[in-house]
Amino acid sequence: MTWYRSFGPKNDIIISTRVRLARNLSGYPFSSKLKKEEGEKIIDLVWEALAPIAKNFTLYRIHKLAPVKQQALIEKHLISPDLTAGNFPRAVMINKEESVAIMVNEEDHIRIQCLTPGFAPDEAWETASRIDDLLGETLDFAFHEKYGYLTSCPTNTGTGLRVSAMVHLPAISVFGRISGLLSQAAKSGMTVRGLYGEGSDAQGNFYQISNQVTLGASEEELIERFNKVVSSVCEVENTLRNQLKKDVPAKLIDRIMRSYGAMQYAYMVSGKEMLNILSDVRLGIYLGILKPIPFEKLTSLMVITMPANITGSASSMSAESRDIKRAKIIKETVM
Amino acid sequence: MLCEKCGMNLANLHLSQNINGKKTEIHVCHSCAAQMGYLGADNIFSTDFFNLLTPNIAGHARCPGCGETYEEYKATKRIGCEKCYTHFAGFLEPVLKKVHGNALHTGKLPKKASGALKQKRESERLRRLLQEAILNEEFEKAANLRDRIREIDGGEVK
Repeated sequence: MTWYRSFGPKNDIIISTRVRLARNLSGYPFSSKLKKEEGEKIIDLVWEALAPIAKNFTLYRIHKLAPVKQQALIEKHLISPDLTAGNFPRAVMINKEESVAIMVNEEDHIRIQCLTPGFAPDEAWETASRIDDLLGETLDFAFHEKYGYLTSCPTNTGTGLRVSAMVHLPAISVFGRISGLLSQAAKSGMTVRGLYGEGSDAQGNFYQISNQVTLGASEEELIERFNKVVSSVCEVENTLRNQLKKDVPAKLIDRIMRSYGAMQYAYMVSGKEMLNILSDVRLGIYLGILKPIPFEKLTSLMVITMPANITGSASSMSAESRDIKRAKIIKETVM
Repeated sequence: MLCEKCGMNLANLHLSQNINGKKTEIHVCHSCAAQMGYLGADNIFSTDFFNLLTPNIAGHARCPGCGETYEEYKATKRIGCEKCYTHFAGFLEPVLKKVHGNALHTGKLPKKASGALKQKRESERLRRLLQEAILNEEFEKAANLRDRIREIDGGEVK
């Protein structure tokens, strides 16, 4: 189930959920000290370990991919920008549904990532854990009785588990309660960041919430804590949306209608503008101002209208041509 | 700073000598200082006392697995290899505690190693229960627990 093309639980607020497990192989230095030959060897070992389910996967050697293809994978959130850095042998193994992506030789030797549409941390964790078990049948992971799974950065040591959700919080934002909520989430051991990770702005009121602690609690406990925090954030957003529904300010209705108009009639749309349009339209649907459009269609636009996915097989494209094409794709998708 | 004598370990001692007004200074590691005769058994800086004073300094500053130094870790915030975790435990454990509030893994065990480790974990858990039972003078319960630990570990229970 491709995360950006399918409907998932609580999809009106939560766009997607991801679980990531960090693992390293015993007997090899971690990535910062790894030699090229060792890096190649690790890619082969992981691919061999994946053999029982490999027919459902494709192996991409990152340094052999054209930059636009690398960027397209980043835009789908299947790989991190770090995986494309430098000329070191790195790889990603992606299943047909694009719901599992195993990065090799990023910050850690192995990063198993599972993505689901909507809010499904348990499901994502179960899938990640099954793949971890499969790899663990043939691979020796760096593990310490006391510290757990050993990782390149001490912020991932222990379970190596990072669970995150991409959330859309327009009502909390309208009521000016974002900063309060974010500091509350931080107190509960969660990190809240903008859409594109560390240091990025929360364009279109889209945020990422993830756990900070990875050691000292079991995976199930960590997911349960995360579940509680994200659910309470959803509850606040829902309450405020319903409050807003009772008496929608004229200015907000105007903004929503203008965004809806741009979706149908704009000739050029920039990437940033698109996120704001999507945010307004999603809220407009919830408030009953606009007729429903399936949420998964709106979510798909967050991927298929990104620069590299627009450019596709074309060798290059100017920013202006991309904005024209983006406006066209938006129209075709929602009309 | 690395030891000026061996160049391998962290210099954690600063020695200075003044003979007839001629001053010499050297920064050395603990083991070179001992070899040079500065850390004898009679010295107040005997090994144990020294370790007590500086519990965070692991001694050897270069990881035997990957050659990483603590300075390198501090600059990059990246650990070089699995052996660093044991070698730099004195530095890393406080970091882990600060980040996670705890430094004891209670989660999943690797598929391959899980048999022996699971057994060890279960035995540790039962030993904790055994201590509680003894403290509470629940001797029948304690005897049962002791039998179960014996089954798992084999041999005597201390």
